[in-house]
Amino acid sequence: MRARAGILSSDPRLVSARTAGLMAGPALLGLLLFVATPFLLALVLSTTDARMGSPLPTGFVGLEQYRRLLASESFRHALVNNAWFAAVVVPMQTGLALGAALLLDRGLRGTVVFRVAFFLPVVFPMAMIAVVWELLYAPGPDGALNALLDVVTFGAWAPRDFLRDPILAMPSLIALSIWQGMGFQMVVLLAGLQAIPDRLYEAAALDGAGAWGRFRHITLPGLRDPLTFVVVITAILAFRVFDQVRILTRGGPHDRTTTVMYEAVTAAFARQQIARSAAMTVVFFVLVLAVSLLGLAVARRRSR
Amino acid sequence: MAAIELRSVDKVYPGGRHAVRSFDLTVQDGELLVLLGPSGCGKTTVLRLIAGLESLSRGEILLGGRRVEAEPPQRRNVAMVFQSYALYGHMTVLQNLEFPLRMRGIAPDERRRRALEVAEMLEMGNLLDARPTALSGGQQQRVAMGRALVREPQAFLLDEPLSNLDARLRLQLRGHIRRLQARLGITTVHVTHDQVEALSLGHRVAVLHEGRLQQVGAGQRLYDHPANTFVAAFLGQPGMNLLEGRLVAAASGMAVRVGVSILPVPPDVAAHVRRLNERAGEKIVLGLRPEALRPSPSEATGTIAGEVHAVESLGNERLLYVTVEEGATLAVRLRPDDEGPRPGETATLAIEPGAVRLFDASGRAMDERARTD
Amino acid sequence: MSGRWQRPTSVPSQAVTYLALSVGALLWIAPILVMLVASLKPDGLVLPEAGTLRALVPTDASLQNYEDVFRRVPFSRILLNSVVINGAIVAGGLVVNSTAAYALARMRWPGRRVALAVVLALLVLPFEAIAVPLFYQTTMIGWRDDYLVQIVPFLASALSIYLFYTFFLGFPVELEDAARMDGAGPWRIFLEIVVPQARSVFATVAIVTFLLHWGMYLWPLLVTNGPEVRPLPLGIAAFRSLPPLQWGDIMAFAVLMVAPVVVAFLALQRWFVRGVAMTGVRG
Repeated sequence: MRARAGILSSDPRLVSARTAGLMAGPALLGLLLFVATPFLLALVLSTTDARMGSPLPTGFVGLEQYRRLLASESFRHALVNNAWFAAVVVPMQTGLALGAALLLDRGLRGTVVFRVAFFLPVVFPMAMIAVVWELLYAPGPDGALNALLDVVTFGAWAPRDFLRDPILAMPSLIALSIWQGMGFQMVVLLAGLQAIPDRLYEAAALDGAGAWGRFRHITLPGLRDPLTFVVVITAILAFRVFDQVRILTRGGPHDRTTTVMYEAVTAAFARQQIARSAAMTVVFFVLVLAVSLLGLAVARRRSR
Repeated sequence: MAAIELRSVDKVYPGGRHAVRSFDLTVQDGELLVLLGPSGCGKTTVLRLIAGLESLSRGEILLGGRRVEAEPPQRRNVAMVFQSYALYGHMTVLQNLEFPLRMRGIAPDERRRRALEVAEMLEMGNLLDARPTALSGGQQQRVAMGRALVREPQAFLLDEPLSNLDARLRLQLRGHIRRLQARLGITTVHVTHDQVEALSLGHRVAVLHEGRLQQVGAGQRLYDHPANTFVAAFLGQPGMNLLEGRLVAAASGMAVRVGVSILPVPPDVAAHVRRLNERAGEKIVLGLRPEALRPSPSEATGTIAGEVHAVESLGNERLLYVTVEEGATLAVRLRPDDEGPRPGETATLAIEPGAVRLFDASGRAMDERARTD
Repeated sequence: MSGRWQRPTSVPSQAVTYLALSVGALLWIAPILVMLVASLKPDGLVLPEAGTLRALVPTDASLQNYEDVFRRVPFSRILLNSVVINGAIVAGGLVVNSTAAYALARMRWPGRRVALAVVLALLVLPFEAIAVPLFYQTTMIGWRDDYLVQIVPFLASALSIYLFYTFFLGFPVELEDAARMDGAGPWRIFLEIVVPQARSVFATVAIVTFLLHWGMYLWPLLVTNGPEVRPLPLGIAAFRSLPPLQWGDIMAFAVLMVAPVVVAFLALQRWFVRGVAMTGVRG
């Protein structure tokens, strides 16, 4: 039934458009100007041949930029690297985080200290982490990591220049990324674990379930949502990798560590190729969106 | 101080739920009117419509003769006590009391004076610096009332203010509310689902069911002459017994046949039903209050018999539950010293004269005295 | 709490847990220790000793490196830049995003549904997707190399709005009703009734915003030139490239730049952890 004309048709909560405008206006304006507009601009720019600071007129080129990207070796390397990054970081970091969270969930005293230790790197800027780890990765037998591996392998390890080694460069970046991100996942998973009521475990124990059984049937299902969340977030973060690449390896050696964002920024910043760069960020967005939607679909499907 | 009038008010929620239907009600200036009904009957919605917290779909609301349905709550000068009290947890009691006055731009000195006055009237003087979370339920309720009264509103609305309290406190505060209202003479609408509370509190009671007003009038009259079967069954603990039967003509006038029993219609009831004599054969509902039935030794006409199915002892009275042959159960109120039959035995029940109530097949009272204001 | 997914914790299993956690934690903070220790050593000793256990021992400890940092770069200025920029983003963000979320949650106005849909849609958009075109936008109008260009684009945040929004939806509406009856208008209700009772969500959003922007490197890289308005992450990267390469100094810079945050974290870590966990719950 609709309200009739001439009778009150407005809810008393409908305040003056002015008040709502004042309250919501600034944020919405900000989102519009600084988020929505650049996003649309990226789409538009990616169909042109614009160059920054160039006196030449820009013209519409359709999907030419995308074609060039697909043909570009560097960009293909970047895509592959990002995929590898995600494929390695997600399970490793999540595994470590889950392990730590499980140990911390046992409710022993003093777990706060451990929680602080694991979470601390999350508070550090990635730029600083990159610089510190560069020291650890110092080439030559004196380098901390080289020395450690030498000891651990009983002398079988030959010192390497981690960041310039074609095979080790990527894993080196992966390691420090995991170091930074694990704490965040651990905290989320720990909160998820602590939300599982003791009663469920007690009931399972009474039903005869052993430790593994309880883990499989109580813990894992209970963690489904936080796990999905951290996996999706970490996967998305894997595509966003930029800082450590720029500071430590500059994409090298030979594009072994280049990433989509690194290519995009270099194209725009160093080579003024703004249209090409825009196309790259659009590809980046599509990838991220795909991962997000996948995560959403998984989460929704399993919440029956 | 003002009268409240609702004219043909309808409220339909966006999902389609028709919460209030064709509602007409006048609350007299200075009256304490109770809105009574089961959960979901629309009584809280009516209250919120008066307050301005909901907008109506159709109709008019007048306060003191002025149409207010288009005005926001801030401008209506009515005050409300919420079921959960809705006290401002981060402010002290005194700040809670002063808040409405501050919103009206009243000067600090005047604010303080009025807040203290209300605090004293409600005996809260020693609580002024406390935070609401530190107070008991009864104390919080008084703060809520104080905050509502400090503005000297035109009307005072209470949304089940006693529901969250234990029985003893409820009794105490019931009296408190009644005395307060009498002293201030403020037009009050009190919502409750508890009919004992309703009957004891209000000058008049309005019964609601599924969004419609069933009957309004002095509590005693609603009890004695309910306008329909819903009101009859809702008021009273237990409510009126209702039996399906048929009007038959008998030697001494009209009677109701219920199963094998023939129960004559008492003359003073018959006098108030129009054209009763012409309605033989009509299916009706017979209403009998538990206190109108008494176990009787003889099986004369005008009694009804059945098997005793349970007896409840309540301290000051006993309730007998008798199953009559049609499957219906009659509740009978006995005094503690009445011997009464025991479960499993047959009981014959006599009816107190004049206590018969007749309702037609649609549930409406046939007695002319059972009307609504 | 007993052992949850294990049998009630027995002493040996407790010991094993502690051992595992201790080893893990020590390995985990080893890089931090190395950094700390190196910052106290003379530059010449850092690299040679890095490969030995003496990486963990502050030989010849002194604060020389810290002095060097201040001498070589305007560190105080860089620190101030970070504080100002982040402080403004957090404070401004709290104001702008909380009011928007309140309007979305509690008011009806034309376009509200669309606005909400837009906010939710933007949640999946990471900053990197718009960094480059935003750079283009701001450069085209000549806006670079100042505080504002590092602050203003980040004030409005879909994530912050969302966190506030879900909180305000769950806020007891009766309190707001009571305030309306008491004569308060929407601004009053928001500022005097809702905000004082919303401290937890404000803390959460503040911390989440801080964590997200404190380490910003990409954007300052794009829009700043010299150290005048450059924040700490860019500062350390630039310092790293500044000849001569002295690791002791670099580590000192690292310590200086995170020390205040670590102290704040240790003091408020319950809030930090809660804030992070909340994003997971909402996610």
